[in-house]
Order: sequence, then C-alpha cells, then structure tokens
Amino acid sequence: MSHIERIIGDPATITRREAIKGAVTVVISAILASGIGTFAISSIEKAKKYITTRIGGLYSQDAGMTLRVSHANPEVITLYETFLSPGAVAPAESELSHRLLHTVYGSDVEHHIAHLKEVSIEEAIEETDASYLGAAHAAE
Amino acid sequence: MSSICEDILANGVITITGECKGCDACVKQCPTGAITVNGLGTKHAIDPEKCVNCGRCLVACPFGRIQDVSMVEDVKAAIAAGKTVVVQPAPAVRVALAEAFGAEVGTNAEGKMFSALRELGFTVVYDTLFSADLTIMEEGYELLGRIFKSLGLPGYENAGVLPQFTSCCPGWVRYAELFHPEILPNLSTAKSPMMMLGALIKTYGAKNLGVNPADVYSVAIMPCTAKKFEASRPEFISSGYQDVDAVITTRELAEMIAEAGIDFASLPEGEVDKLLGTGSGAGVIFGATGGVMEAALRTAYAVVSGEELAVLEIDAVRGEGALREATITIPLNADLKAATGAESVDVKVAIVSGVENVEPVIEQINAGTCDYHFIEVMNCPGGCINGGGQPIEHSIF
Amino acid sequence: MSEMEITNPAAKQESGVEVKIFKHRVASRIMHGFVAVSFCTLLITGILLVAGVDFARGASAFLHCIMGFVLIAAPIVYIIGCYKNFARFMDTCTHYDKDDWGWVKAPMGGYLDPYLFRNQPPHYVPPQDKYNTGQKGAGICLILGCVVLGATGFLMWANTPEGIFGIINLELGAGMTWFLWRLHLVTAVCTAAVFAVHFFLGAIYPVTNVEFGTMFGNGIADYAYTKKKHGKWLNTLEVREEKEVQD
Repeated sequence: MSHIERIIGDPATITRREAIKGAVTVVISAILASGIGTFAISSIEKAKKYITTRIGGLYSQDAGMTLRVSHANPEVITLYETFLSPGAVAPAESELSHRLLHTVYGSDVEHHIAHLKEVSIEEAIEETDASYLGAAHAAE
Repeated sequence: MSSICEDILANGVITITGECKGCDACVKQCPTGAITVNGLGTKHAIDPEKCVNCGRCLVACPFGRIQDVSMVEDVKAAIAAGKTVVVQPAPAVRVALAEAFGAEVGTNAEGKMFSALRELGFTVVYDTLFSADLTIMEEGYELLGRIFKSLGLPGYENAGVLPQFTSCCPGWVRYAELFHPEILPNLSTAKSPMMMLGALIKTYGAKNLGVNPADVYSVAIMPCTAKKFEASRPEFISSGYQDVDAVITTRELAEMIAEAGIDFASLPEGEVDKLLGTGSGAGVIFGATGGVMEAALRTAYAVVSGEELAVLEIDAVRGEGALREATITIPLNADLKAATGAESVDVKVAIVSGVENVEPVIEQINAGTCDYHFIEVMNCPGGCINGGGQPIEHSIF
Repeated sequence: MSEMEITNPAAKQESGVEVKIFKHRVASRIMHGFVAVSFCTLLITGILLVAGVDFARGASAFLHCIMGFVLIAAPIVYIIGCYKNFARFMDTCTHYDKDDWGWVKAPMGGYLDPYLFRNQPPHYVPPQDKYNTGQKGAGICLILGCVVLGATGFLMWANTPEGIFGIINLELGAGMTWFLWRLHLVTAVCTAAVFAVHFFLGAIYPVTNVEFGTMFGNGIADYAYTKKKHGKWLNTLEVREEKEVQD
C-alpha cells in the first residue's frame, strides 16, 4: 500500500506589498539605530559646551572690572609694604615671603618640614623686619 | 592635624564605591592610569599610589558611584565651636555655584556666594582672588629671575632653571612628583593661591583681626578635590599651624547652603572682607585654562617694559586646546635695554589643558630641545572651572 | 477557539493523502536558533551584570558583547539571504483586520480563559493568519526592541577604553553614557517581558507548546493544531511537493 504525501507551504513568490513591507521594516530599523547613534555621537561636542560657558563667565567678570592687573591690587601692595618686605614691594625676595609663599617638592619636603619646625614664624618675621627696616634705617 | 587629613594622605581623596557598574567612563578620564581595569565590565578601584586626586573620574561617572572624602562635618563643628572661621572661595567657584540652584551654566554669583558664606556662619570672608594676584607677583618675579639669569644679567645667579612650570594646580604638582621627579626643579616654588592665603590668614590676617592664630579655623572653598590632599600635606605649616584646616568643594558648599535652608536665588549681593579679599580681573581668570598665563603676562609686561599692556585680553593664550603655545614680545625698559643691549624680549609660553598632555613638553625638556620660558599646566581640561569639585553637568540635549 | 472552513483545495484532508504543513524553512529555523541562544545568554549575563554579581564579571561582559553581535548579525544575514521570507513575515506582522480586533476582544485570543473565566464557555476567537494577533505584536516588539538594544549596546561597547576590538572607539559624555545605559535597561526589561510570554506559550503552555517542536524540529506543523489556530493561513498555502510513499 502507498499513499500520497503532500507538503504544503507558503507560496514560493512574494507579492509587491510584501516586498515593500520588508523594505520598510529594514529602513525603519536602520533609521532607529542610526538615529540613536547620531544622537549619541552628536552629544560629544554638546557635553563639553558647559566648559566654554563657565570660562565665558570668568572672562566677562574680568572684562567688567576696573582692577585687572595683579601688580595694581592695593591690598597686595599693602601686604608687601607692611608685612612681607616692610617698606618695599619686593616679591619673591624676603625671608618671610619665601617661608609663607613658597614651598619645595618631592624629596626636599622632609628637610623643609624640619626647617619650618626649627625656625618659628616669629623669628622669620623678625628677620625680615630687621633686613628691610634695618636697611631703611641705615639708609637714613 | 585632623584624622581626615591623615586618612587622605594615606588613602587619597577619591574612592569608587562597591556599586560600580564597570562602564569604564572613569578609566578614560584618568590621566595616570590609577583606575584598575581587569577586563570589560569589571568593577573598578583606585590605586592611591598613582592617583593625583583630581576627581575627573568622579565628575565623569554617569552613575554618581565615585566619592571624595568630605571635611564638611569638621567645618560645621568649627563654626559651632565659635572659632574664628575664615573662608576663601576660589575663582572658579563663583561661576559654577549657582548651577547647583538651577541657574544657567556660567552664571556669575560672586555676591550671592559671599552672602551665603556669611549666612552659613563663616566669621571672615576673604577671597582666593587676592592670593591669585599674590601668586602672580611671586611666581611672575620668580619667572623674570629665571629669564634674566638666562640672559646673563648679574644678580640672578641663584635663580632656577627654564622653563618654569606653574604650580597652582595640586593635581599637576602631584603628577610631576609621582611620574616626573626630574622636572621638579622646573616647577615654580610659589605655593598655590589657596596655600598662600592659608599661610597669610594665620599670620598677617590674625594679627590684623586681633585674634590668636590658634583660634583661627581656615577653610577653602575649591572647585577641586586635589586641594583636599594639598591642604593635608605635612609641609604646609609655615604659619606655625596647619595653614588650611579644611577644604570643601563647590558641590559641598551647595549642599551646605541647601541643607541650611538658604534660598540662594534671593540672597543679596554681599561684599568680601578687606585686607585679604580684594582681587583683580587677572585673579578671576585663574579659573580658566590659560588664565594664569594671561595674568602672569599682564604683570610681566608691565614690569619688564615699564608700561601697561594697551589691550589686556591676550587672545593668543585663550582657547581650549589641549596644548597651546604663543610667543609674546615684550619691549624692555631703559634699565634692561642698557643691561642686555636688546630692544625687546620674546617670551615663549605654552598652556597645557589636561595634565596628560604635558608629556610631549616633558619629553622636549628631557631631550634638551624645549625653548619655552613659561608653561601653565592644569590637570583638568578647561582649567579649574571643570574641576573635580564642581557641580556635575551631565545634560545631553 | 473556532475552526474555519478550509476552502483551499491544497490544504483539504482527503483519504489516501497525508497533508504536511511546512511552517518554518530551514534558514528561518537556523536564524531563530541563533537568536534564541544569543537572546537567552544575553538575558542571563545581562541580569548578572545589572545585579552587580562579582563572579566572572569580565567573562560575562565579554560574552554579553559577543552574543549581542550574534543577536544582530543573524537576522541581518537572514534578511539578505532570505529576503522573501523576511518580507512575508513582516507583511503578516503588520497586517491587522477585524479578526485581530476579535482576537483582542476574546479577550487576548482566549489565552486568559483558564485563568480569569474558569468554568465558563470558551470565548469566540476569529480565525488567524500564520501568526495570531499576539504573535504579530510580539514579533514587532522583539524586532524593534533588539534594534534599540543593539544600537545602545554597541555604543556602550564602543565607549569602553579599547572600544570594539580597537576598531570603533567613541568617547561619549557621562550624560550620554547614563542615557544609553538607562535606555538599554528599560528596553531590555520590556523586550524580556515580551520574550517571556513568547517562551511560555511556545515552549511550556500545554495547549500551544507543539510550536516548540515545529520551530526547533523539522519545521512541520501539526495539521489539527494549525487548522484550529491558523485557519486563515491554511487557506493561503500552496502545494510545494507531492510524492507517493510506501506505508
């Protein structure tokens, strides 16, 4: 005995409508994926814009000020004339300005700490006063 | 020294919490490779031996899983204890603080910031702008000394070597110490503005305020997490005390203001205290990449030529490029003309934005081919305004 | 469920004729196999990564990336190689008529009957195409979900320090990284929910789990099941092969 085996399935050809819908799906997927990609990549520049904006905030404050150079700052001048180098504006010169305003790096640090502990701030002030005011007295 | 400072010196300022998702955003920001990577997607940790505490990873973390050590409780305790709490806000703080209260990016809230600090109970409000100016004087004269030495002028034999690097940025200073000790002689010996003002507050400041420096608690508001490490360093005791007792970031200040229930937007425009509070525009621009350079050139020009720059904006050093260079011709004053026999001096400068970009410059120095006089290095791209302590700005639209 | 009268002579059962319904061709089954294995691996590794489990994190993440590539590559190869099948699938999935409304009204093709309408007569469900309304909707959701998962996933992979094997390397900002991770997670949860229903009905639910054998077996569907569930489709089929076989 034998019988017929019939295999049935989807038609071998596709209609125009089916072909178009397949293409539309591919296009929509491509647009979706590249949309996300473009959005992500376009944000790279935007993400750093706040840096420029904050810098702009500083530059515009500077532009609006009347005092715009460090050496004309009246409080800085007073500090030098009354404390760091009495009677003069002498940056990076006196014992006191070296002690309070300068430092050392790396392997020199330990030695520097020992020096700071050995010489008290009062001694540094006295030494500076003596060298500047003393020199001023001598000039008189 | 407080226990927090000791902890910072031993373990660093920045830690990655256990809930790290392993997205690797921080790894790409780290200039020193201090963030350990064990393969794709693995949780990260920071090696304190390599970390410069800059907090770039913290700002870059999309999920807020990186933290910095906080000194806020110590500050609150000092205020509550009735100490003379002296505060100094950095230049970059004023253009970022308002962001935390919903203002547009870049809004300048200097006056409101001073008012907020007083409302929070700080006794004396000084300004790091003042010591930025002081830094320009000290660092600028140091630079001129180095240049005059190279020109063979008498009296400058003890000056240092060229080129001179800026030393305001604690991330950069630590980077140099850890990875390039050979160029430490090139680093300006001038302290950073924060440390200069810290040393002055407990000496000159205390004397003029009529208080005992032992009762002074010195706080710095910084856009920077590395400043916490800098303030903790054991050598900053030149006033006889720890020069700066605590550093809090712009973010932490914003939190303190919010916590105290202060309506920031409606605060009056406050004033800074005199003596150590006045700053110039040159100090303001310290917060931007190229700003220290521009400020230094304004003063160097005036000192060397005897006259002020006609146009103070030096566009040649502005911008945001990672490594920029410029040559500024400065005419010599009569004395220098006589001493050198030249009409002018060409000052060649470079600006590094993002500390990893300093590598080619250091290679040049080590090869002996570097002809720059002055190099500004800022650890964070864009300068302090983009520091690790600033309000975090993650908008994408 | 209500059966439809079979008017298609090719699909009619006659004495002495054994009708076999060829539902999924071999290329479709291979592609589906790749997608299924990669999706399940992605789901498991994804859950491990999101849960923050420290065990074999690097391996999980690497496997997640590789399987993500398989999940996207397999359908692309299939679309190129078997465009006709893909196009017909998409036409079926995007075609809706009153019978779909009837399916929804049933409600939900009668799938809720055993749970919500126990001891009541079954609801009327109109005859369905090769895929019923739920399957069509799931197909669209899974395709769009995987497109979004793929796009966000590859961006996240490219955003790592080495990038995608050092070939594509991006440096996206923190905000964008956050956004991509969230979008990936939300899409993954939605897609996984659809997948869970798809897996339950196809492989576990006793009434419909014969579909599992069809998809992962020889592609031949059960006649009675198809006549009952997909009568509309049965009426569109053509004879592909007819041969005499010995009993």
